[in-house]
Amino acid sequence: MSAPTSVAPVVVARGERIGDGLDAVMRIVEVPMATVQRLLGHARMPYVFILPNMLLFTVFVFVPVGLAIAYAFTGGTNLLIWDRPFVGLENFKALLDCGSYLEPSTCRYNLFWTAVHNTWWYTLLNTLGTLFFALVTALVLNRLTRGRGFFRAVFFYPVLLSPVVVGLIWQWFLAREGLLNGFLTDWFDTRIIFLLEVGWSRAWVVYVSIWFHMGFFMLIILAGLQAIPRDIYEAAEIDGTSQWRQFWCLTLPLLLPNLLVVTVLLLIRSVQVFDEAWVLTNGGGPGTANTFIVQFIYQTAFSPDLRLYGLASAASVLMGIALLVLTLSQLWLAKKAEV
Amino acid sequence: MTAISMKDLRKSYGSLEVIHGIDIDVGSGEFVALVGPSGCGKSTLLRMISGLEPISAGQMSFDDQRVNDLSPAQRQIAMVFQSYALYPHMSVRKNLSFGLENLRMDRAEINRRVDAAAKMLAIDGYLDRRPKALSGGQRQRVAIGRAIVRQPRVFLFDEPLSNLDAKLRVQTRSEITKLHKQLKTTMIYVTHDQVEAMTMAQKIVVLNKGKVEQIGRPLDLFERPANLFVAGFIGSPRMNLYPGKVASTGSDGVTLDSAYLGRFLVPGTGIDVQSGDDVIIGLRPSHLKLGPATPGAGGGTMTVEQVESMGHETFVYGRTGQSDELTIVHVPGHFEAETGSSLDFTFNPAFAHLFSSVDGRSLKGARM
Amino acid sequence: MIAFLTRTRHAGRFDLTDWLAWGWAILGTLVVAIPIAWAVISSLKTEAEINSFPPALVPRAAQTITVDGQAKPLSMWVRTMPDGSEQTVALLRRIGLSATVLDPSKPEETFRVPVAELRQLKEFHLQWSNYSEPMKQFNFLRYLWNTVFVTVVATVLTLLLNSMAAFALSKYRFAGRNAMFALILSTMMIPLSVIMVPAFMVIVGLNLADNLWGVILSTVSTPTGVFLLRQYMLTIPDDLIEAARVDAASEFRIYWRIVLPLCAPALAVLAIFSVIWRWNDFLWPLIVLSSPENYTLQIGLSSLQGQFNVQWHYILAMTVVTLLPVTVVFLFLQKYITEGVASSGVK
Ligand SMILES: Nc1ncnc2c1ncn2[C@@H]1O[C@H](COP(=O)(O)OP(=O)(O)OP(=O)(O)O)[C@@H](O)[C@H]1O
Ligand SMILES: [Mg+2]
Repeated sequence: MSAPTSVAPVVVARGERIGDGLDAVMRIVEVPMATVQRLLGHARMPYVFILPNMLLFTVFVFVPVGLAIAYAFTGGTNLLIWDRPFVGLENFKALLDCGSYLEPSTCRYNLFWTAVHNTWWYTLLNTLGTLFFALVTALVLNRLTRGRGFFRAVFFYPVLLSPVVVGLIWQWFLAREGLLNGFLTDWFDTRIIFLLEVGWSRAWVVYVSIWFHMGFFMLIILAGLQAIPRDIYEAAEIDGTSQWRQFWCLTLPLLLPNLLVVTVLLLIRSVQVFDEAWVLTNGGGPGTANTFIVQFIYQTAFSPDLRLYGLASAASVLMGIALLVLTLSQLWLAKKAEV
Repeated sequence: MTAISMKDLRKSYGSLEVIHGIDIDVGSGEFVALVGPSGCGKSTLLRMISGLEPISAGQMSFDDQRVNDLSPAQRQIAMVFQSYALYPHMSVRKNLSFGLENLRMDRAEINRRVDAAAKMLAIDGYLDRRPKALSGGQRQRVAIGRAIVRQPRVFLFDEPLSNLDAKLRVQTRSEITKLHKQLKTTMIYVTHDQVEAMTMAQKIVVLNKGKVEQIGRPLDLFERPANLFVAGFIGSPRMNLYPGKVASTGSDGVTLDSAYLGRFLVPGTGIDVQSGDDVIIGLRPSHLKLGPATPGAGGGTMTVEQVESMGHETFVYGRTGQSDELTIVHVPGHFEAETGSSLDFTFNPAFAHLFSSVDGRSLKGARM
Repeated sequence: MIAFLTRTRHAGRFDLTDWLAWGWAILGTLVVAIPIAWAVISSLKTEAEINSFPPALVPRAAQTITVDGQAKPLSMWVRTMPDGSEQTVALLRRIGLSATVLDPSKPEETFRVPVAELRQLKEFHLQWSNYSEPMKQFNFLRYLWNTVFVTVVATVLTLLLNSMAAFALSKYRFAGRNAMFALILSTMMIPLSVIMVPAFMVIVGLNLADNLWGVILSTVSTPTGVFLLRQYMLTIPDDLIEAARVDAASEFRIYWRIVLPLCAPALAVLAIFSVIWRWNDFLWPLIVLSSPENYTLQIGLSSLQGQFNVQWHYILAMTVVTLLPVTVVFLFLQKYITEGVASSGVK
């Protein structure tokens, strides 16, 4: 036996000992499973394997989806569905009761419409901003011949942080005593309480979101860029195509399907903005400047003095429909991108 | 030692039937080869025997016990896969012992069997290696070893040699034959290589399109093919076929007329033809001889198109008249001929095979 | 100038576009790193330091000195005399614009000086008690334990149940297989935010409200996990499974001894993701858990922030504790994570 393989048996043997150890543990499960197999026959075993998963999906997803729709047509503050009176379309009417949809203060539930407006602007700015930064960063990284792995890791790192951590880190950074104000004082002799001013706080919410999630989308775009075959560019080079034209006529069209998918994904995520914005702005402040739809649903359903489960569910259903449209269009785009 | 009997076995995938009623009896301790062209259903049939593939209709019995609904484990079969299917994450030793552990066999007995099998197959040197660290031939032997340790009632092989190079294939062929002599276990061996089947098996089953064409001892199939399909499939290179007509029948044989071979008398009785019937005449390349036709024997002339000399033997390919198919003549030793030159050939009519031009059935009293 | 928009360039030349690319990458690195670094640095400052403005770039603490005749250590200051010379003094007390100080070398003599003449002496100091205090005072050890429990249990269950489902979906043909697969995939389209109200009712109905199992169970089945593992299992040859079947292995044993070990790479990816998901989960635990002894780190942390008297030195220390495991995981498994995301689009 040659030198390189002589180490292997030790490793193999150890791996097998671990396997045997787990095996002993698994005997406890195995014996009943073997009995099940004897009782049901081996053709029915796949159902046994998929059962726990389906059960959990049913209990925690399928049943709630049905219930969400049922809740939306009921009123009162009882949580249990059978204690709740049927109110028909009342919840939807209440939510949609508005003088002008462009002016939240004319609506019966102006908080809902404020949230819709905030979410709309957030979605627009966040999608465009993230797309821009992710695309440029991906192009930059794709171009780097050295250090690409390092920078890719750096830009991706925030994606793995928790929304609470991100919210707190930035809240501290932007705080009255924070680093940014330290610089402002040094250079401009002024301090801004960023998170207590409507305009600033909204801008920072978008900025922090971009900071938080950009790495994820960058990675997807980068994967798309790297999937473009090199020789296309070589052929273009030989044809004397200018760099600018190469970008517009080769890179962008070839990347377009990828970008479309990323855009829809971004839209879907943006509509559901909640966690990091909630932590960053201490619950959607100042006032309701950063209150988004999910926060509206959460508060309407769970704040002790509201408990309007029906209204919250109606809002959920409306948001669910919007998301469904977006998701279906994503699937459609993904399919088209494959062809 | 187990005898297997299959009665009118059928297999359908949805509405598509791929095995159309098969009857085979495998004697206890027999080595049977299943041969046939690609897609004829060999693997499917083998998997039905193994219990991996449910049987749609018909009956399968092991020693008179119906096993249709038994799992592979309950049938106590062992199988060697074409891809070997060694567990890549287990050492060779573990590969061999896994099946025995599943049976909750005593550790000492497992080790005893594994060591014995390893010694027998000369793989005891790498029991602690992973399959990845083995050569193709070694993997092949591990796969066989995994079957042996189980001491199964039946061994099933699905084209086990097709991933080996030519030399190793010949060597492993004889090893498997030896193994069979040693173990005396019933073995069923699937191959599309007729040389393998001819050299290893005691009995060959020729399958075509999900049906049995012929079952018999290797030499029987060669000498008395039941039909055109078997005649064409068994023997390499293939049999030469010529259209002909029955001129007359008599007590000493049948006189045939062929545009390519002239008029000659095929001796024998019980040849199932009438005067005036269209037949197909089959002649093995080894039964043709170069040289002018002697009176009473048949013969023809061909234009040489290709000569393949292996040194100890030569195949001459030539065109006879306007025939589409080339005539192949086997010449012992080295032989040279100019392309385009004309050669006469002759043969002993006693070796001629006759087939019906209607259904391809052998007319010369072949056993079926 | 525009060249950088197109593609990787050959090494050797280094032109303006390369400078721009490197500039962007380095600037971006700073943008990512500075807020995090700032939080880490601040988490090691004393409470007094953290509230002082303008902020210092390194954690410092007031220098103190123990003087005979004084019960408590006194803080050290530099006094700039009207003539420009400097003197080190210890501060006794401060009233309005004047302060009572003493010279440490002559502790008996105290004298009053204007505050404007004093500048505090500080030294480099890491306030580790920011990390230890909340563990006792705010039950953070409990939160940490809860989070570890949820993360570990949920991840083990996720691997187990999702791989079982993936095994069924990839290695068997059975009636309803495609329908079930489609159903599982369709759950990707249903975010928690749409079903949080009824999902909470289900939790209440199962008597799992304010219970860590309520957090765990509802997150165990993930369509992403099933999908990822199924795709991987499709690459395992069916022959292996049939060989094991011939080898008299029960179906469960085939799953456990053949399929699972061979799926190790995919399981590792899913395990990494599951750990990160569960560690970072916020909205769902926020809904399910109500009493502080059941809080996870994330909920505990955000509740700390909601308190009237915001104690940033503790919050930041606990923020660092919270981001540390994820960071360590990322440092070691960076390659697998980024490649896993890039190839599967999972987050
Ligand atoms: N799962 C299936 N569904 C439908 N048809 C199948 C299935 N499996 C096999 N077949 C068909 O059954 C026939 C027999 O297949 P089988 O694999 O037994 O052929 P084979 O004789 O082993 O061929 P080869 O020599 O190429 O291995 C083929 O025509 C094949 O297309
Ligand atoms: Mg086959």
